[in-house]
Amino acid sequence: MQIKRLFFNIKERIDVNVENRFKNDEELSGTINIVPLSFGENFDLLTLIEPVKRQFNYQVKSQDIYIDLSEYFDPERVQYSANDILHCLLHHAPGGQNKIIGLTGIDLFIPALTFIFGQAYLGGNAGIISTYRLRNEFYGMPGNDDIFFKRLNKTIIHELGHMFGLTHCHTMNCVMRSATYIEDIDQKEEYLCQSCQDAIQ
Amino acid sequence: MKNKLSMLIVDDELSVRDSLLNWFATDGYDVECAEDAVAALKAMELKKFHIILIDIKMPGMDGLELHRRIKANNSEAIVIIMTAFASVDSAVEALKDGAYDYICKPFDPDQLTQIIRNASQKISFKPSDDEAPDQPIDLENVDNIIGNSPAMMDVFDQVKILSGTDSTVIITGESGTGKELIAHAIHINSNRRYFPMVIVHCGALAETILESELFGHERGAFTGASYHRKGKFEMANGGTLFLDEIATVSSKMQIELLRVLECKSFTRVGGNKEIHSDFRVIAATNRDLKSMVKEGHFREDLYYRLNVFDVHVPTLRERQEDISDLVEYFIKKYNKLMNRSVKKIDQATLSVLMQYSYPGNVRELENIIERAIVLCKGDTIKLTDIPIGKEMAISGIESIAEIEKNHLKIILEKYDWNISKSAKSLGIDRATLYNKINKYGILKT
Repeated sequence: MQIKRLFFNIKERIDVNVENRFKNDEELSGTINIVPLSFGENFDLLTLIEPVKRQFNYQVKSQDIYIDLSEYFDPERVQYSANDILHCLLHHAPGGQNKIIGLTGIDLFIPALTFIFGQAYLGGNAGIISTYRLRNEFYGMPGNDDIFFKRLNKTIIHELGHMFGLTHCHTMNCVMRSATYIEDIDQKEEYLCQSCQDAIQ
Repeated sequence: MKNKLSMLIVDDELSVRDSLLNWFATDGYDVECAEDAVAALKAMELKKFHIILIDIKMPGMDGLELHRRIKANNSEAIVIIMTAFASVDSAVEALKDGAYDYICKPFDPDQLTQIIRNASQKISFKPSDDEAPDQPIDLENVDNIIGNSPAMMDVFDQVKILSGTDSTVIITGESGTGKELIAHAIHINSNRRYFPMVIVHCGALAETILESELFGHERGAFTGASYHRKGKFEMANGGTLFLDEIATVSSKMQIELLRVLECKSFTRVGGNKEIHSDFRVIAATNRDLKSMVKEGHFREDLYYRLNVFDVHVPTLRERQEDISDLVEYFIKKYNKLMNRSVKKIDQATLSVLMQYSYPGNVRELENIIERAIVLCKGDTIKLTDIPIGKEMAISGIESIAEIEKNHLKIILEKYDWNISKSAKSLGIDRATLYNKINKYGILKT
C-alpha cells in the first residue's frame, strides 16, 4: 500500500498524549538508542522519537555517548569515514535485537563514494546519519526547518529499515526507496510501504 | 527482490570492497568480493555473476587483463571498470574491448546508482516476441483509491485508457478529491512506472526559488550553492512530471513552462550544458482553466498544450455510496499507524457521515476518521467521536430517526432494494428491515 501525501494534510492538530497511542514499553520488541555525535543541531531529540516508534514498534531513547570523531577525519577528503564511526558505534550497541543509531552534523563518506547521507549494515545493530547535506542551505536554498525535519526523519527510518533487514524498495513513495541525492529524499514519504512493514513483522 | 542479480566486486582495497558490498547489499543485490584477479576468476568458476565491478589498478594481474580474460571466456557478465582520474585512458581502452561502462573513484552516489540501474535493466529486460507491450493492460490495483460508485468507475476507465498512452493529461476536481492519486494511478500503470513521478506543487513555489527548483543549478551558480542540484524537470527524466495547482503559476512562469514542455530541454541555473529530459506531463487544478483563459489569467497556448485529455474527479457528494468503504479503509489505515484496534463504526454515526456534504471531500473524511480513531474509547466509533454532529443539526437533520431513515434509503438503493443484501449490510435481519421500511414509509423510487 502506498500512503499518499494527499491524505496527510491534517488541518486540525489533535492534542493527545503520544504515549497513549502506543503499546506499553514492556510490550515493545526492543530498544532503539538515538545517539547525538557532534550533532550541532539545536532541537530536542525527543521530537524524533514518535515517528520512529510508530514504524518499528520499538522503545526509542536518546542516549549520550562520547566518541572523539577527530580520529575518523580524512584530511585529504575533508570528510569523516562513516565505516570507521560505524565500527566504533557497534562497540556501544546494546545486545540482542536492540539498535543504536548515531546522528551527526559532519560530512560522511565511504571510500568508494563522494558522500553518504547515512550508512547501516543490513540486519545489523548500528547505523549513522549525517545532517550535513540535509539542510536546504547546503544547496544555496532558503532554510526550511520543516523540510529538514522531514528529511532527517526519512533518513533515520531508512537506515533503521536496513538494520531491520530491509533492502531498498522499488515502491515509489516508500521510505526504503534508494535516495542518492537530496531531491530523492523529498520524493519519498516518511513511512514504510505495506510490503516493507509486512517484511519486518 | 524475487530474483536477485548477482554482483562481483574486484578491488584490492578492503575498505572499498566493504563499502560497496554493503551499499549494493542494501540495494538487494547478491554481492561477493574478490581482492585480486586470481580470486575473481576462481569465484567465477563457482558462480555466474550478472555484473562485475573491476578496479583497474591491482597488484598482479590488472583490471584490464582480467576484463580480457572474462570476455575471452564468453561471459555474458556486464563489466564496469572502476578507475581513478589518472587512469581514465585505460578505462576508455577497456570500453573499446567491450566493457559496459567506467566510473571514476570516488563515485557520486547518483552516478553509481544510475550506471548499475541501467546495467540491471539491460539484464532484466529481455523482450520476447510473445510479449505485446502495446496491448491494453489490466489496471494495477492502486489500493488507496477507494470507490465502486459509477462516477469512480468512469474515472478508472479513463485511467486505464490514459495509462496506455503518453499524452498530456489535465485532472480537474475540487480540492481533496484525490487528483494526485489519480495522477499516480495513471503513472504506475504506464510504461513509465519504473521511473519517478515528480510532483511540483506550483502554488507552493515562491518566484525567487522557482528557477532553481525546476531547472536545478550548478555548483557556484550563486552564493551558497556549494553543490550542484538537480531540478524537478531533470528528476522526472523517464517518468512523469505532475504539476499540481497549475492555475496558480505566474504569467512569467507560464512562458518558461510552455517552452520546456515543448522542447523538453533546458539548462541548469549557472550552467551552459543543454539537458534533455523525457517526461510525461500530468497537470491538476481545482479551477476552471477555460474561464481563466477567457479572462486572460492563463495562457491559451499553455492551456491547449496541457489539455490533451481531461479527467474529472467527482466530489464525495457525487459518490456518497463510496463513503462506507472509505470509512472502513481509513479505520484500518489509522489503526495500523496509531497502533489502535478500533473495529467498526456504529450505524447512526455512519449515517451522519453519509449525510454530510464534505466541502473538503475525501481529505475531510479522512481527517474526521483520524480524529475519531484518536478519541474513540472502545472498539466502535460513536457519534461523540466525530466533529460534524452540530453541522448536521444545523442542516436540518435533528433526530436519530431521520438519520436512520436516510441511511436505510441509501443502503436499499445501493443494493437495488435487495432486502437480504441490504439487511446483511446493515447488520440486522430481514424482518427488522421490513419493519423499519414500513415504519418510515420508505418507498422504492
